[in-house]
Amino acid sequence: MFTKTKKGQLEIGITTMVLAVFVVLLLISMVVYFRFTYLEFEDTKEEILDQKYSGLLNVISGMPEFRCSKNGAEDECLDASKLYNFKQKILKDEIEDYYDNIFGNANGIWIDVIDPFSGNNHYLNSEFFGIYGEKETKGLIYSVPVSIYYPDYKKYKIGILKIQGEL
Amino acid sequence: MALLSNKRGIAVTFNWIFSIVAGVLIFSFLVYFAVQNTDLFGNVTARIVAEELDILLSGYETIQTKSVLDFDKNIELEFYCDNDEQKFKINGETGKTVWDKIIFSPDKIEGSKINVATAPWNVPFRAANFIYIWDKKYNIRDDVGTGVELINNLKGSGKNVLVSQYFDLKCNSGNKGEKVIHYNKDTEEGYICFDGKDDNNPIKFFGEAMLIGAVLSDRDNFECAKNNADEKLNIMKKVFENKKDNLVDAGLCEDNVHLYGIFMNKMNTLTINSINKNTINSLDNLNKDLIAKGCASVY
Repeated sequence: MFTKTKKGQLEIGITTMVLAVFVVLLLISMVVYFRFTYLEFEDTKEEILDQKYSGLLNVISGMPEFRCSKNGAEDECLDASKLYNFKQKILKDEIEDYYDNIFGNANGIWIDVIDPFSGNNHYLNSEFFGIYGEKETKGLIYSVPVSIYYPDYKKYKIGILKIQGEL
Repeated sequence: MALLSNKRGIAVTFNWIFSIVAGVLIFSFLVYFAVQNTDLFGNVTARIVAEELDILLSGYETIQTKSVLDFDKNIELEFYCDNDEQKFKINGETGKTVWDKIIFSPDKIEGSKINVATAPWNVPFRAANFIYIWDKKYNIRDDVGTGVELINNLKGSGKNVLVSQYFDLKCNSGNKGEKVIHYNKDTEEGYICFDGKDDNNPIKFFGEAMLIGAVLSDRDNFECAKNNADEKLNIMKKVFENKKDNLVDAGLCEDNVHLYGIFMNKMNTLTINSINKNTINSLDNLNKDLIAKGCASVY
């Protein structure tokens, strides 16, 4: 009788230990699973943001808000007189929300002018045109060269359109 | 006896080690399988496809194009309006807002191949590019002879659409329940009677680009897209106001600077429901005047 009780207790002990080991293994597996899934989501998010920023360079170059035209005929350039003060005068109130939704992930969008005109004639002499956010903050910079047209002077300059954003 | 005990002890220990190692291997395989195939009931794929489609449509937004998107498998795209925001769902999952794009399409599109085209909306400057998405053709009866190439491409067998003469916002053509678009080819003004004859609430529009949208869209989607176009038009007015200020400040057109004022006054009368050919021609003429006087044009 005494031996049977001892055997029973031993078997209970063994079963309990098996269950404990099983639960520990299960918990470790779940932690590993969620960790890997999270990392995969982060990779996908980075990939999508990377595509978004690259695509945004083309989108901005083609937006009628910045595109240059001569007597209604559009050209492959950006209009300096539209770009100048765009951030200060246009990005207000509901319009700011509108562009937040388009550019939202980007920390800053601007155009640096290569070798700007000299003088003190505001839009002609501007060294850069801010479009959205702040210049040179955090994140990777995506850039593309653009042609900038000064309609008053009928002259062109090369600029670099830059988008800075975190992945 | 001691030897037997030892052997038993070794056997028990071996059993434990074997069980733990086997358990770890089985769980590792299960975790690997789960990570590779987890799609949270299709939500993850739908979300990724929605983001990628949004990026693709952004690329179409600023160019003029016509192409076919091939998804390799059947998908269902649903476009709808939610609080004046255009949204789309893929396979019934996760609505995504199309913030900066103006899309005209039927409310449901199904298939592995989807047609996409774009056209500029000129009033008279390009205010926006419209994106058109469709899967099926339409039985279009064009009594006006619009001559619009994209509308000709949409002709086939499908839903009935009648393009009829402009009748002063009166819905008196076609059959009840059949979409009738009244359009004046010369002035580019039009209105749509979505419920056909006796529709009491026709919707006005302007331009060939909107005419194409009228063929594809139902009432809610068309109104949504039209409101977004109106928003874009108002933004463009502010953009040109800023441009005018910069040109005036530059001072290179001092003798004719009043022409910019006249131009902006005319432009500020533009609203989506009041655009007509006369206003467009006035703006064109004022723009040309500026060039003739040696000043930079507004557009």
